[in-house]
Amino acid sequence: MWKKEITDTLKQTALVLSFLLLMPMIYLVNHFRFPEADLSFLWYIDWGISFLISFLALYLAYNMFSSEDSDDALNYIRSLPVNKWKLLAIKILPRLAVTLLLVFTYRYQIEYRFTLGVAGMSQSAMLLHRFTFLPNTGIFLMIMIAGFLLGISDRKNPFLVVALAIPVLYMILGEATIPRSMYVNTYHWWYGHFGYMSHNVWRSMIFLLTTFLQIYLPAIISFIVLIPVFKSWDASSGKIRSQRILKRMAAPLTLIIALFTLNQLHVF
Amino acid sequence: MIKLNNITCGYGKTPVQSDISFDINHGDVVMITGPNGVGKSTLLKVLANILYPTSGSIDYGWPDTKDPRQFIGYLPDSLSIYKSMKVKDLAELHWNAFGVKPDPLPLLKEASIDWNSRISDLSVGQKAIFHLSLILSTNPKLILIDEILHTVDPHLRNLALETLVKTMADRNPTVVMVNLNYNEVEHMVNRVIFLTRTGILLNETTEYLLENARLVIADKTPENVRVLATRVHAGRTEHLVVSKEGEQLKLSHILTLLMGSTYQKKK
Repeated sequence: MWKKEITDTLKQTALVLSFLLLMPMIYLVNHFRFPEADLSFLWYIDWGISFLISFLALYLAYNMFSSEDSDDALNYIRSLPVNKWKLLAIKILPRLAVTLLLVFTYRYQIEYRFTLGVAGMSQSAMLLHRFTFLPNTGIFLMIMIAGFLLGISDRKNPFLVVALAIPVLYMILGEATIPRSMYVNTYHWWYGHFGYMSHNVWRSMIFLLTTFLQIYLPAIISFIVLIPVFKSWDASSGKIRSQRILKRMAAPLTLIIALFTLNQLHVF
Repeated sequence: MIKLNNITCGYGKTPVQSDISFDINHGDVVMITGPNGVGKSTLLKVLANILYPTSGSIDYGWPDTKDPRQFIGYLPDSLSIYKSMKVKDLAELHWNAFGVKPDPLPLLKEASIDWNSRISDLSVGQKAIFHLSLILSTNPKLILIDEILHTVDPHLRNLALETLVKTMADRNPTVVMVNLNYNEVEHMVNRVIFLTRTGILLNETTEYLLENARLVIADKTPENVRVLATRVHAGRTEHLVVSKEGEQLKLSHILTLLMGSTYQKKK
């Protein structure tokens, strides 16, 4: 089964990445239409890769069960003596590995270039900073799990797609827009008790911890409540599983939406 | 012995079958039959351990088995295999999942299936034969076949049934089949389970049925005998009864009678 999933993943990845071939054309069109922008070809490649990596993760997740859907083979894999958790790993790991390989390569070189430009940064802090993007990889894992749950239920149910997308979006938006009040408060608490936090390592550690508690934990909980649905996955209709997923996610999603709203209103 | 204890099963809140229990002896060849929509395929999925009953349990009688699917070969009512894969790739996937390495499938040659061909390029019958040969290649203790052979042309169907008979003779697996053409499987089956919406109407050995099921033609329902079914056919009322008197019937005739009848509740 590994062989099939790895082959499918590589085929789908090649398809998505082939869109990079459009970059020279986009560059040339923009170069002649908007010469004042003066953006280099490398800038377009950079932008293209960052966009395509995110798209690739979504594409791989959404199409995780596309062959089972088109071939009506979902009951066939259920009839094989393969443990459900193993099946989850077989489906997710190849896709996650390809995505993370691209993410790591792309992000590491960005962080590497950034830390080289910061003066007076200690070696350990520099090293840690280069890996501050690591928690983001959790987002890709969540995307893959969401894809798996969609695959074993009803990929075409828009409500289900939205429900499973909310925790992932919360993590993405949380990274980008939610004011990290917890981080700031923790920093102030530290400053009040121990004085100036000179060591960047501690600063990074607190950043990781607060990000996890405030952003990752609510999203993870909304997926943990779905474990019983996964465990009872059988040959019954995917629509029934969709309903169960939506029912179970109602409370955690309300919590996430409330947290997001309260954060936006600067209540915390 | 495979024991089904108080199984209630279905796909939503409304169960298809409620609280049914029966035993299957190892090595038996059982035919589950009955009208459409009574849950024959659902029951087979429960036996295949791919649909969980809402209540009740199955004891396969295989001690020290973590996953019963290891010993089950399930041929569903529709072709649910990866049709976009090549024959050899799916065979490899199947064998890896079961942790076996059998010889390449002998049945494929007889069905003219090329090892390198894509499954989508095979005819419907060839696909069914391929799935059947995949199932038989893992040496299952329990073979479950759901109607699929209806879609296969007579030549391939005979081939499939001959292979099944040979497998039964060689390895003595338990076989449960749903609603196959009675005439074709009559000689193979040794137990018949007739399902209705209200449960199991009949669960008897073929030997018992051939000896005791009789056709009685009478306007009134016969008394002091177990009436299995009643129907009005060609202007006369026919009763299928358990008796020593009346017209002796072939198994296919008994099942045809049951299929087109109104049923008496089991006493």
